[in-house]
Amino acid sequence: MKTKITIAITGLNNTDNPGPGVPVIRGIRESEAFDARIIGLAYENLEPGIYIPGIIDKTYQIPYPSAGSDELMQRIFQIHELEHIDVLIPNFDAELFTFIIGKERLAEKGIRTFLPTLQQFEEREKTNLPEYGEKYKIKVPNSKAITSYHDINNLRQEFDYPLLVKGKFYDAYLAYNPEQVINHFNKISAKWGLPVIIQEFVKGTEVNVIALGDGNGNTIGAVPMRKQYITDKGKAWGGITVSDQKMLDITTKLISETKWRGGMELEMIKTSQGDYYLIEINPRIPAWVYLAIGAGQNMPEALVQMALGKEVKPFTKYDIGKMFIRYSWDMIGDISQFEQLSINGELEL
Amino acid sequence: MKAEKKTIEFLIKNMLTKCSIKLMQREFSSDIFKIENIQLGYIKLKYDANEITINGIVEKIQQLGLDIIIDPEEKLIEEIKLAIFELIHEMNNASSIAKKSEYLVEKLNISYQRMSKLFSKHEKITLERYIILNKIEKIKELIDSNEYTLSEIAYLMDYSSVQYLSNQFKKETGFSVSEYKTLKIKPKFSIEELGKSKL
Repeated sequence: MKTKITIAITGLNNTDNPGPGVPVIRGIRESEAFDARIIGLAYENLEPGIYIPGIIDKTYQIPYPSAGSDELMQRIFQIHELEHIDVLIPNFDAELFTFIIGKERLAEKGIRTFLPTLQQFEEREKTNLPEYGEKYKIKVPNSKAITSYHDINNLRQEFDYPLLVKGKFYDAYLAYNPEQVINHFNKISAKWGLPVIIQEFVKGTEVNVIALGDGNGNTIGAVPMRKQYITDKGKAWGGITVSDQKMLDITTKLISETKWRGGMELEMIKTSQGDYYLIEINPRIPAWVYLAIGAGQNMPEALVQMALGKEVKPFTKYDIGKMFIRYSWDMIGDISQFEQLSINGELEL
Repeated sequence: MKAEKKTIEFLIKNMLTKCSIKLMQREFSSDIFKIENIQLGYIKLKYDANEITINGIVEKIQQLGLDIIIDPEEKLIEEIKLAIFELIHEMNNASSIAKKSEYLVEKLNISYQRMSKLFSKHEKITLERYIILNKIEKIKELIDSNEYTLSEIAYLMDYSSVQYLSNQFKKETGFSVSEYKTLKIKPKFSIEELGKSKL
């Protein structure tokens, strides 16, 4: 018999830069273990996941973390009073800090999470990538955090063009000259704040691994994927599961050494010489998680099990050659739905 | 005699792969040289002027099958070749944040038309044909790796269909893809040789 459970989930922005909320929900909906009531937590009224039929039972608006951690937490508690949330799965990098430092407060109210520790979260930040690579003996590209135009003039001494300009949470653009760096710097700093990260552009095939660590050094699941089509924002629009033992070895070694807790995504570049460069670690389930589910590893379900304190057996296999392709789809809604969310801060479809 | 240390830098023609860097490092590893900076298409080294002349250094480079670039247009040709190498051999052509259509133009900061004209002026083949020959060599490598299906290779190398790739592969190599797979000794060309003759 399926366990009845209420799960609150963020990251419902299924745009061309998608959040992981909708595929995480799809994984939970397909679970044999849970009969879940899904509470969507939305920052914006037009996050598409809110309006997709059969995905969310009820959506609540929540304030951006930038409004203050306490304000966000109070809103979560308010929603909890109404919905009795069992598990909360945050899916945005920008909100993770708030939920990581607030996880005891959440637990006191009966809201369980399964998140990395603050130390795990902070040491893998993009600005710390060179130290991270050195500590865990992983090749990483040369990276530098910059905070002003002045720093851009000196980049030629340390980097060859083209180079990557990255936001501290999201966005990555390729720049072929200092003028383009300035453009991207302005765009990214306005959106995500400072610093902006300059990263060496390692040439090769972009490969990612989605993984789940149990917090004791064990890898519960890991699926490597090669990006097939990449958008101009660097996002995979299509990908395929691959057999790559070296990537899996890097992942299990890293989870073992860091005792990683929760979902993660390792973004790597495989060069033509067969070297792997770690370019980023996302401390959460990535937006392409549904590929892993399709390949036989339902990581959202496993994460919920672990959040509930249940023992989860590691996945031992996945299907190679499974492919995902994103698409856009026009949904028809009604202005009254938008109004309801906008005026009342909540919407039940 | 006291060593007379001098520094010299060269732009190098045909130095397109990491193997050629290793070759140069080996060639200039003796006591009379010290490599200060080396990268694809470029070397800066300190040498003992009492032991070797500049012409002697140039000869050593030429013996490796490489050459010195003096003409600025030749320098640009080498940069074009290097960018094509990066795009096709290192980035698998299509699957990258660096979009194939803009990589050459953005990296070299000149129009494709000018690039093409310059290339034809200095090389024995056109730029288009040079790109095709590079793609064919990369396709051979991808087939040998057994990592990709032929349809994926076609996509990565920007062919609209497997049939188009197969036809071009047969035309350029004389073998169909399946014949090529069965060959014990695979006919391959070094990247440095591409474009040196009308292959």
